[in-house]
Amino acid sequence: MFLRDLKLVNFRSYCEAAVTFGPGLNVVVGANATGKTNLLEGAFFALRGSSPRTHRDEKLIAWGEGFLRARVVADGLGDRPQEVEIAYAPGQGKRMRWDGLELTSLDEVRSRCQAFIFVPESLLLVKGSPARRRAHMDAFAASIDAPYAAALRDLQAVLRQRNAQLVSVKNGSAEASLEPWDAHFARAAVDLGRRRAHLVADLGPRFSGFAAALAPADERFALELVSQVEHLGFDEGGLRARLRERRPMEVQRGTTLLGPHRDDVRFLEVGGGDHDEPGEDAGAETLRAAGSGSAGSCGAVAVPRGGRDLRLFGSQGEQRAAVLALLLAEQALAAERRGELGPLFLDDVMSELDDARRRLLVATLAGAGQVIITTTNRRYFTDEELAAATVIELPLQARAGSRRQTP
Amino acid sequence: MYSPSVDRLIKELARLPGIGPRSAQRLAFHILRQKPEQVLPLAQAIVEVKERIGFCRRCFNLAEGALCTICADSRRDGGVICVVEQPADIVPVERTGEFRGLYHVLGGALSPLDGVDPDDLHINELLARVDESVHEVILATNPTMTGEATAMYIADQMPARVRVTRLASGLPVGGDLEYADELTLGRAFAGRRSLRHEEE
Repeated sequence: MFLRDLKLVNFRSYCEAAVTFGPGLNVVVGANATGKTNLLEGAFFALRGSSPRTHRDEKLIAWGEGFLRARVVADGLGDRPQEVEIAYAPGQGKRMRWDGLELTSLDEVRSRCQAFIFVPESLLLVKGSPARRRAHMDAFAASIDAPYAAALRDLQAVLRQRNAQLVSVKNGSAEASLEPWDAHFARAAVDLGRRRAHLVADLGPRFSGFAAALAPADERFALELVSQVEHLGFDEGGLRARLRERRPMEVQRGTTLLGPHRDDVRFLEVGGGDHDEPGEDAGAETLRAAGSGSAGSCGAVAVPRGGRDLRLFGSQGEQRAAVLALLLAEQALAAERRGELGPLFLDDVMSELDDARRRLLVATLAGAGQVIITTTNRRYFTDEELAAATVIELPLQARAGSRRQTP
Repeated sequence: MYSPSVDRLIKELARLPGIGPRSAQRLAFHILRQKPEQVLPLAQAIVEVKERIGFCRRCFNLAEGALCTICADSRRDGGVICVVEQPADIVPVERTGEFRGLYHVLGGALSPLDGVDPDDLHINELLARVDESVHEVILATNPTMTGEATAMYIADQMPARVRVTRLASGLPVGGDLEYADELTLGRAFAGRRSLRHEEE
């Protein structure tokens, strides 16, 4: 699937803009403050109804205007081009249309097509809090896997009830009143915990493969789930026993201290091939099982426990490569599950890479379907790469001739 | 805008479930147009129902008098108690014609978020009712998170000699597999039954 026509109305710096993209690689070239990031953000918004840069949608509306509209024509979904439109006005919420049909929820739009975006804020996926990583993983998994979304909703609902009951026990209710919530919570926690472990096991080998493809030297990255539920062997009884042990502290704090809502995902640099360490545990087992078992196309990597955590010790370049590899892994996994590659939007990823890494990135992107990439300098690409790509120059011309194809 | 008594009527009608301010206004003007003998029976019915209907002192169903019609019916099987959340839940169970035992109405479901603790429901009264003559308790709370938690809590409190059962959940009869949501279908899978006679 690829985006053909994008039209933005009152989106960020654009009063009205129309751009035509090509399949494969698209290079958006422009000086600073010409609207490169806004263009990518607008295209992403048209497919997902949200921005990776802000949760406050009113910030997306052009200064002084009362609404915004983003519309794309997508090719390759079904037998004819599909028109997707999302409009937003503060106080009135969002209106979603798919091929002229009004949709009632954003989930309906999101479940129909995927899109992946890298903006400078995406580095927080590695550098930021565990909550941010969980939210990202959950949103991705929920959009390709409806039972995962249901398991997540169930866990969140029972967690709210259980926390309220803990507060109530603190204020004098009988402890026995916690039992039914413990039972339900343990069931929901094990269910979501297993699904998350599967997700990370599915993403892990792909992530390692793409990370290796993006690195010039012999660097090995791995993805590791840090999960208490997994550590307990996905055992409901074991989790309930642990909850009983922790009960006095949980009651005192009025909140649930164990469970998938405290999971984290670590990005690790695990060194070259012979950098194995003894000592096995559940996390490494899962990844190794995934490496040998699943049909990952990118070469499985056996993962010793205890690599270098990129959140704490990674360089800027390594953190950037890790986020790019994660997005590519998600794109590949979604494509395998759903049969089509969603578009990939990359904002200014070339400027901080050395030339060798740039060539590796462009070569890796050749298999990633439609990629729209912004840059301030077209010299980051070779002449052959530019000749094969669709080049869009910003600022856009006032007339319809907003697209320029290189000869 | 209106005279105080009309205003009051509109406000009171708007408190009914499913009635918004505009519907309340429409109903109020309808009542004003009617002859007294056409609308006063409604007022009398409301007064009468609130004066005469209370809760059954045994099962907390709605009752005219000390016991509800079901508890007062000597032909019902006192050995089985079906536990429901609300009096309204009794009606669909009765319509099945499958159940000839007695009921117990909890008055809601456990929900810490809404401040509903075990003490706020008629659970102690249920435990007091379950004596030697009762051999089965059927937990027919709603298949929601709060209903399940309530059922689980009650099951834990029941004496060991009593059989405690829960209504099955799964596909609606006459329904189409194609239209079932994944949660319901998942439950139906978990609760599947053998079609051949197998030894327990």
